[in-house]
Amino acid sequence: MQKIVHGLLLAGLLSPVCVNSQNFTYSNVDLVSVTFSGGNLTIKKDNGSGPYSTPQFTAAGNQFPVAYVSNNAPTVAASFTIDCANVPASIWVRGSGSDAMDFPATSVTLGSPSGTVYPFNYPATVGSHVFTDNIVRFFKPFTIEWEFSFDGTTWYPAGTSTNTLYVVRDTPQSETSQFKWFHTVYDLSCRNAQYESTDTGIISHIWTEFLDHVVLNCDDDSLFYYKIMNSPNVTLASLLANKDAECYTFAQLFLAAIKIQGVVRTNNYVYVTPINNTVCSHTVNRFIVKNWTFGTPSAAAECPEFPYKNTYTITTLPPPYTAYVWDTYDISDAVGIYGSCTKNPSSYFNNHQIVKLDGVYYDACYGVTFPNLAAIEGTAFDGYSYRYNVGITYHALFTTDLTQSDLSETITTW
Amino acid sequence: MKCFISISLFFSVLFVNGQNIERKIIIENGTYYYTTIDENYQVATMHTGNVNSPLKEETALAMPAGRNYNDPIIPFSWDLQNNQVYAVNFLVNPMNDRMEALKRFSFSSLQEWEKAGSVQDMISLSTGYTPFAPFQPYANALKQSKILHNFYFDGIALTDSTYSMVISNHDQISYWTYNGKYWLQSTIWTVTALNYFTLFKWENKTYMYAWDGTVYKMTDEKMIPAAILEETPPLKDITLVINRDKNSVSYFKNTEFNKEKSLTENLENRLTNVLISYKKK
Repeated sequence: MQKIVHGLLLAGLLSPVCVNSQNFTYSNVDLVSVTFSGGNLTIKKDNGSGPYSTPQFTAAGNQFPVAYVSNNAPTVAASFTIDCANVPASIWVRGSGSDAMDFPATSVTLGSPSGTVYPFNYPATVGSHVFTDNIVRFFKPFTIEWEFSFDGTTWYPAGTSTNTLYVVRDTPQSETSQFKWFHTVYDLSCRNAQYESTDTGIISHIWTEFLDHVVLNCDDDSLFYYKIMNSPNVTLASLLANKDAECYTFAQLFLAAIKIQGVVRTNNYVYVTPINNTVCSHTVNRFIVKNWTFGTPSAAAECPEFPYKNTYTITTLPPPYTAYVWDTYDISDAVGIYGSCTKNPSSYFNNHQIVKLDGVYYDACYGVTFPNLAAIEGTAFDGYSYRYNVGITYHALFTTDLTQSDLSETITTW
Repeated sequence: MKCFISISLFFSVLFVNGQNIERKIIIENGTYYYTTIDENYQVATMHTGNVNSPLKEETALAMPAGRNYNDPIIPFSWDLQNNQVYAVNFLVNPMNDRMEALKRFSFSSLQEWEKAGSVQDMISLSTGYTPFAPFQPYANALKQSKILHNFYFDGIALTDSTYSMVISNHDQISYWTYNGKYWLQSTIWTVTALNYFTLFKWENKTYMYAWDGTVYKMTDEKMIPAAILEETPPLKDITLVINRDKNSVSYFKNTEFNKEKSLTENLENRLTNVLISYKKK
């Protein structure tokens, strides 16, 4: 923007209009703001402070994301200023955006000046074409090169606006108390499902985000599965706000990324827990996820089927919540199955929540899929457990024999 | 036309510090009790104070129980009977066993949050608390279908040793009573719960204020329509007031309370003085 326009006519030296001035610099035309409209979708900030506002781009620093449903064209308005003592009554403005999205030349009238600074506005104008129907797109960035002209023939740069723009395949499913149109939901979804059009293609490509145990938000920050081992965060909103949460939230994030594309799947959220059978007069209602190290069993006399015993007081996870703490123990936690951004997340559970789509179980926090419940047990578990308390001391008994219980599922629609 | 319960109508929306009151307010011996759920961490707080003292002077007690935020919302199921607090601990936590969700603890054991410890500590305490009964109604619902749809429940204490619960899933509603030793299940009715319902006790019988404003008396054999309110606001728009001092059951449309005023003043100021008008079916 600091470049000097050369080649202006010498004859213009004495002209009162800046464009004809030999020393005219077009850096005195400034892009002030850009506003997207025309059916763009609400995008909520990950930090929970509500939707992004307009204008989505400002010279002062706004670079807010924008989203549309496919088969729609963006509508864009822009505001500029020109600093010049003598200006014409009107100026031509046009824009050239990513995806060959053009915003046609329009003659606009200059507003009332403040000193020598005149404002002018490019009116809300529909882009030259719609985003391809039924195709997910991801523009990071979506730029618009703005130009102005005094005669509609010779054009000069007038600044560049830069925004992230998402195109979802279909109208997203309606928000609920849990499913919100968060920034990261759009970003993760469109980033991975770029150019996809089918339900299965969208689902399978979004799933790739979870495969490498590194789930990233819209700012490329890591989302942790149990960064602290007793994270109290159990909702999509709290995962995105705190970047650390329990299994529930990764399942919700995966489903949200699918729902934002308008993909509909019911009975998609599965709550997995032991069947609560009785062994040694106690209900088996705990399981341990790999890996655990098993020492010498001390409780074989108490319960031959569950011979390993650990004890704890009130909680196994006292501050600073980074490791299990036992009063006595036969078994101990070890690094096993990685979670998202965490090598050794919590692994002693009553329940787990995963996603079920088209008959496949997706465990988003671990980035693995299973064909059935039995496969979860066989692949991920080191054992089952039951517990009881005597006063304030809890006695947790364990077995490595996975035939001692089984998994049940409760299914809801998220 | 007979009055079955006195219904007081208020008009507006009830929030206290931005949090919804869960289902009801109980007034007993000049003291009020209500619960709220932390918006971020699922844990319940019991609010209590003198009905004639400013609400800002209330005591906020940490409860080792709570509920989740899953859609559709099932408001926190809780009750107070003879210094015993009953609660269904249905928060989501990897250590919380839903089959052990029915909790009972002494009201006097509750501590103010400043003394009770962290949210994490309270959640851990809740998941470890020994249940007073197995959650048989829930287990039975899962036997009927592992898919939860139109799934709601609420439970109340009838006496020191008996507890009743209504639970729905898909198009079935059933009424259960626990006698201190085992559960008894009523007839299963084919009714689709379109939203949640709230139970209350009247003359030691269980009544259900349904989602549509219909009030049912629950027996082992029948759901008896006991009252159809002249104005039938959806349950989600109101809060019940169980006033044991006046032996009345009321409701008001949810509203924002003025914490500078007492509960009595807050309610009086919003009374429409419309007592019950109902038609018996």
